Amino acid sequence: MTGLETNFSGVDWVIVGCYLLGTVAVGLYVNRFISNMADYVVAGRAVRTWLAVASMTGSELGLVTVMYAAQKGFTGGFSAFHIAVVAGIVPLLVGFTGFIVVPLRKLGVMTIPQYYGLRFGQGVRIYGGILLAVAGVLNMGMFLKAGAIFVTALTGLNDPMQVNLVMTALIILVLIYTTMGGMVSVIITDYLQFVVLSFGLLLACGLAVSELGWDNLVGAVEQIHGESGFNPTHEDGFGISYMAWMLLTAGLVSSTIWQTAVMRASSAESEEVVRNLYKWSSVGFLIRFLLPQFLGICALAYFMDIPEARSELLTPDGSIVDSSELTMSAFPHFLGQILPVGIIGIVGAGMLAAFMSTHDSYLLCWASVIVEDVIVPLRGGEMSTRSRLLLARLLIVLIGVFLLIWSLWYPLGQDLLDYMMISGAIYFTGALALLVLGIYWKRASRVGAYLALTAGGLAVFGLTPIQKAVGLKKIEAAHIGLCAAGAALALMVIGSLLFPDKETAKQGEADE
Amino acid sequence: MSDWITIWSILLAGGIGIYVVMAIFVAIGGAKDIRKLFRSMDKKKRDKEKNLEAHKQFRR
Repeated sequence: MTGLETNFSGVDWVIVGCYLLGTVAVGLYVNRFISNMADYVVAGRAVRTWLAVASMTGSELGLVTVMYAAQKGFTGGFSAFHIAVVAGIVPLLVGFTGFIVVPLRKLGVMTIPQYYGLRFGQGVRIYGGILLAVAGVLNMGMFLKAGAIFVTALTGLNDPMQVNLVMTALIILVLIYTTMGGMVSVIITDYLQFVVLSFGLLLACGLAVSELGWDNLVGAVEQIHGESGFNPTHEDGFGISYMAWMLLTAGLVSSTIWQTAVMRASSAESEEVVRNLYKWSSVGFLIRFLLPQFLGICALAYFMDIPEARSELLTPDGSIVDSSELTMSAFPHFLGQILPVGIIGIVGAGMLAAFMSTHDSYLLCWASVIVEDVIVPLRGGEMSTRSRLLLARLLIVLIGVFLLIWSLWYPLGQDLLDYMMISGAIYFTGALALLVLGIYWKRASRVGAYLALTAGGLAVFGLTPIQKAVGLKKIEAAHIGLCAAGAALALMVIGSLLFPDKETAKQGEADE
Repeated sequence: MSDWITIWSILLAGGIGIYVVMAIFVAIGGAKDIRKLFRSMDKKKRDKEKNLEAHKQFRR
């Protein structure tokens, strides 16, 4: 947005610099503890409850999450809070029931495709591993763009070259401490980020409410969104199908199916820690949507009173402009306006550390999947620990380079949250069927697993540029995602009934 | 609409209140867990090195 000054100053740059260098030092320090792949990927399975909760929340409360959640608050009003509700309730239920995560922890698997291998054979593991890595890397594709928008809006850097340099420097820092320290450094930096960002966001909410007032916030949402800004079931707003999609994605998938969450469960010391982790983290899962969405609403109310910003953010008929980049930038612009010098540096550092933390978790995660679930099984399981670590580190660098290119090239064309959910759906719609039916239905078979994983690929048609490329009329990503999830479950059942595994078929004949 | 505003304001106030308490607990408990994690991994590494050394001496 043009013509807006920011409070970000030289002092804040110094705070950011010190904080980021400190996190790299942590990565270098913990490298001394890494002696095998389990230490590197799941921190030697020695993480206790409080640290696991901080790491899970810190990792999930990343800059990208904050940006897309704030954008949803901005574009959807208070109705967007339904996403926070489902994101909080589902992990709580998982904590009490142990649904999916406890059986996975019992099996001692480090990655979800590893489970596929145990349950359906090595072929499904390799196929699932490839799909997971492709979807996972695509899912990360917009992280750098979101980070660049945040840095530009918060700091007031307008020169694209300066922004690119900052983003490249951040990626290099992430690559250094992730390749050196693996999961231990990830967990420690997640903890630091949890502390800084939690208190930073709470402070920002307090300042925003005192500056704007609750009645003004409600009035602004009513003026822009009307009834649909409060009622999530309203057909002009989110609607029932979108809420169902969020229940599946922001609720069930992000807490139990998404590989980074499962890795936290795998890193836990015991099954009891896994259950406690989910019960406590449910508050974090709720808050990671609630606070940024609220700040998004505050940004909406704040900019409605500034004529220049209002004309950029609203169409002549008073609705919000259809530009993902603009609506995403409203939240960091707002932070740059309301936070005082010093505090803005701390919150900025926390957000950039969050950006790095999400990157490190995801880079480590996808590199581990490619090594452990694709390359090692293809080589018949023969690969030394040293070679695995070296390969994982090399892959982290290669993925980093890909992300740099993808974020510059890909036209987003939809809300960031919707991009994230639908790109992730390429993997998780199939994974949902394999995990739920694989764990809780004995007759689930290998053929059913292949069909379910393939059906998940349908989700790619939920991406706006793909819809345009194949000439599809605008179909809601939520509808395509729900169809893909339904198709994966149906094909898993049909494939398993028509083509049972030999052992299951023999068992059935013996029973008869 | 007023019902929705009430629901969302309770959710916001309650969510923030619970999170403040949780953040304090996690900040303190997490710091203690980090110390324990370092100790346990350090011990594991030293044990491993000791075993390796013993194994080498046995082979000699």
